[in-house]
Amino acid sequence: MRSFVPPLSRLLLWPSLMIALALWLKGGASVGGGFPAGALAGLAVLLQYVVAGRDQARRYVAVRYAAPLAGVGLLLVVGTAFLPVLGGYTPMSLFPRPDQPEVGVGGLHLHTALVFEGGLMLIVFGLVVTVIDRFALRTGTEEESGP
Amino acid sequence: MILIASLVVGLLFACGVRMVLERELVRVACGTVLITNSSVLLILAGSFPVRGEALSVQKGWPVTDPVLQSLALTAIVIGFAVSALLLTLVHRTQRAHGSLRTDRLVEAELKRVHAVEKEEGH
Amino acid sequence: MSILLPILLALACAPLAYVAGRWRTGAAAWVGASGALAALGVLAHGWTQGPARVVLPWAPTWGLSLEFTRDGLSGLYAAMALGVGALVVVYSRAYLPHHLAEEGRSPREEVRFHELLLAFMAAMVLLVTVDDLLLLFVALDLTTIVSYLLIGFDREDPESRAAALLSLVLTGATSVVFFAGAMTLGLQYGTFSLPLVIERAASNPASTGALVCLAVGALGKSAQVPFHFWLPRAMAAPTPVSSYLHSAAMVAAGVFLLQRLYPLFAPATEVRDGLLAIGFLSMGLGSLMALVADPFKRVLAYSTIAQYGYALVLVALGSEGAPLYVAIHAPCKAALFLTAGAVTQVTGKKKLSEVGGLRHSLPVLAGASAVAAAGLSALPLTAGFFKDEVFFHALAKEGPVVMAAGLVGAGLTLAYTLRLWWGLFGGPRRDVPAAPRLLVAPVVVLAGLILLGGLLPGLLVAPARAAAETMRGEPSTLELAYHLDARAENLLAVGAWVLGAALFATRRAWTPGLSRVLRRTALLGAERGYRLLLHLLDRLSTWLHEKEVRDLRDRVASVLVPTGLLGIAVLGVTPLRARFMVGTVGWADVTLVMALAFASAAALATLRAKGHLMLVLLISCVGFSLAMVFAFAAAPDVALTSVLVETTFTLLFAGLLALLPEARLRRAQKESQKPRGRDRLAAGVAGASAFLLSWSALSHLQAERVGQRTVELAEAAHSPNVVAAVLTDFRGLDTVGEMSVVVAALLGVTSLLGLKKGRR
Repeated sequence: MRSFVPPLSRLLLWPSLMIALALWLKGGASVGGGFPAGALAGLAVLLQYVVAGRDQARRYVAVRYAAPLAGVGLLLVVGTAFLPVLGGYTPMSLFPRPDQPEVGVGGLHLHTALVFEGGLMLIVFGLVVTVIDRFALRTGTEEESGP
Repeated sequence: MILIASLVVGLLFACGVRMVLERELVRVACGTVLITNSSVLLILAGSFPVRGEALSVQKGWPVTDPVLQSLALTAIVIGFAVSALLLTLVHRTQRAHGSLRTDRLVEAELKRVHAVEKEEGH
Repeated sequence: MSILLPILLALACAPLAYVAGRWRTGAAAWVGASGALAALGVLAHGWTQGPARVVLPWAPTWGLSLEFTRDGLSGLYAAMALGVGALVVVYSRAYLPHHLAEEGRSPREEVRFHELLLAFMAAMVLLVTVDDLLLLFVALDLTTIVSYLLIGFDREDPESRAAALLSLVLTGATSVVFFAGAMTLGLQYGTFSLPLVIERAASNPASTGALVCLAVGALGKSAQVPFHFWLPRAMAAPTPVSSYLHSAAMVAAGVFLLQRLYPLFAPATEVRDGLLAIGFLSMGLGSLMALVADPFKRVLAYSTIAQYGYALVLVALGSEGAPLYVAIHAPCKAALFLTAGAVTQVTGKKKLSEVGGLRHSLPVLAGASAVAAAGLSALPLTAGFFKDEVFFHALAKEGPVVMAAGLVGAGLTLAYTLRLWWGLFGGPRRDVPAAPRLLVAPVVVLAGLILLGGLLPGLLVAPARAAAETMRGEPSTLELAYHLDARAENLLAVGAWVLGAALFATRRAWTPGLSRVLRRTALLGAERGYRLLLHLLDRLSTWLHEKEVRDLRDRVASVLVPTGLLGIAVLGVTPLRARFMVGTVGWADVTLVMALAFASAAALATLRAKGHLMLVLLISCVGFSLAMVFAFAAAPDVALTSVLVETTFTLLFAGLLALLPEARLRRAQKESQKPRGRDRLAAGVAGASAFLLSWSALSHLQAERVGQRTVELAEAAHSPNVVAAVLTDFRGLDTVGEMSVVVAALLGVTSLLGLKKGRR
């Protein structure tokens, strides 16, 4: 068992993250969106923690800076929601507006909803990874203090 | 269908309450998770009578009420965030007071309150 | 725009003072005072152009707007606030360094004092210029908050902090009552705009309850009986604060409110009678206390209570002299407060019994404060004479009893003012160092103004008439002149002087007796009641807290069970057509039902779970079954998220179990095996209620769903996935709120489980 599980989990990390990205980018068109994407990415990292341990998992930058990433996500969400106010739109106006033509690169439609969803993804990812990280930090260091 | 769904909601809720009333913090946390689940189910049960035919959405096909879906989605994510916070709280409380039992925690807090009052009295 | 300019200038003073203070401490006061004077100039210029209003839309859908007015009343009070404010700021420039050095604090804190004082001035200007009930309340609370900071400026001094808290609680609580009155009026007339309210009140008088609420707010601010006791306590504040807040600004706010809202009070004679009684009561109580108080700031504080009692009487009688009275009283009282501060600074003493004979060392101050004292006690050739003239004029119409009360009040005023001035400056000579010029100059300026008003009363007529017209809504015929004949006003004034002089001359005979009587009859009964109330509230909160802590578990039940019973009861009494529907189960639903059954079975099994790991697995089993339900219900996004979240959660929970000490877990496990019948009952009631309520809710789904419309809209919003469109677009703000919850949870986790190991 020991022999093949760690390499397998490492192998699984990047495909999982790719799927998470896909969930995010295609969220507007089909099943997916920011929440599942963030949860999936968090799950992929969780696997690293469980199998390889905290030190191995923290080799990745995104893991070390998970909590600040959540902050960035909140900025993106709030920015998408309230920056249109400066242009005289109501809060939560997304662009292109319903009456404007779509802008697309290949099969991907560019829409400010994408930024919004990206913010959601980062926040959920940040929450999951931070909680795992703090739990992992404690595991093994807990002293058996009295009853 | 309506009756079945609401029966399950009630059952989950009752189990949740039963566990919240337990004398142990891990079970209390589990109870809140069950209550969260029951409310998500209640939200989505509103769409049971008129629901889509398949998982993927295409033009012209009946669609499960999207407003209820997004409400349920919101409820799930908030429930998750709150439960994660609850788990850390359980851990923290156990460290601070050295017990997982609620009655012990009550004693500890009362002792503390009295100590503070004494301090203020002097 | 010209209406808003003085307001904006007043608002800019505090920030300007801050900027100047960053550059040089001493500059803050001068910049602030110049700002205030500039605002005063603009105000005066605007005032020559006649009354005007400006309405800025704020939340039009709720019918809320920012309304400002320029009329006689606002002009008079704003000029008072700005003018006295500028002088007091200049005075504090000289007063504060000494005061801070005495308290052992950094001289830099002077800037903060000026900022607060100027902020208070701005709040006051705002209060008098707004023309909207809600804004009136907002400005009222702004003055309360800034006054708290000002009174408690000496934050090292417990007495000062207690006084600040007392004034905050009292004026804050009464202003909440005012808010209740304002809301009642707003609901009654469907608008908060003051002119509209007054216009509609002409045909449909305001309810007595609302008027009483408004009056309570005003009485609290103006320190009238029974809310008077915060004012003497507030004398713990630095003297410039007292001389501004407790002469021209804060206490004036209450009477100002009554004058602003006078058209509403005009038809309610019983409320006005009540105000009249309270006015006379405050007058008597304040004057008597002022006669015996020893600290001279307290004498002035009690005098303020008495003087605003006069103003209240004038408002209650609907006299056109009410605004004029307040406007003349303010400079007199401010000058006396400033004198008191200067004397304290020079001698270091605070009580009348410790000072005296200062007229030789401080001749200019003595002269200027003599003018102010003469003004306060309404001697001729000062503007103060006219404040009593309008007072007696109003009383003369009301019959002998009221006239006699007014006569006694005015006599007492003269007596305590003489006592104060003589106590400070009269008596055997005592030599002290000269006062700094900057401390004396503002008093001289105020005294000059008082003399000017007394010599040329014609100057006062125009503003007084304009203010009276705003207050009463009808043309004013107010006349101010000296008449050398035997009219009632003159007779009353002469009677008051004789009485006052006689009281002063015989003061040694009655002072000990009066002070003993006052102490024994506990005229401060209101303060005792307040303390008792606070004590009881404290006890109540302690009791509640203990109760809450002791019955942690039962608290959950004590919320859930009544709520459950209430829910069932609501269902019982509301007649709903076809209340419960069983619904149909088709072949397509079989999978759904099976998944639901699986979830129920897992939930029931959790109750029987022995070990913690089993418990967690069963919980996740419930979650996965529900994810299955969502999938069969054709909610793919929900199902996907549910599966992912459930997996993560299960792993996290397992991680938590690994964190908790094994022995402790087992012990807790053993403890929880003892079942309690009460818990089962509570769970049963709560579950039954949840079942019935959700059944009823699910039986009454609308046939016309929002969902259908949403699907069409999603196409237009370039988002084929309708759920995503709802989340990001239609209900996007909800999602923003939800995300803030998640981030808050994240912050909670990071702060609870810090990175430092082994930290308790």
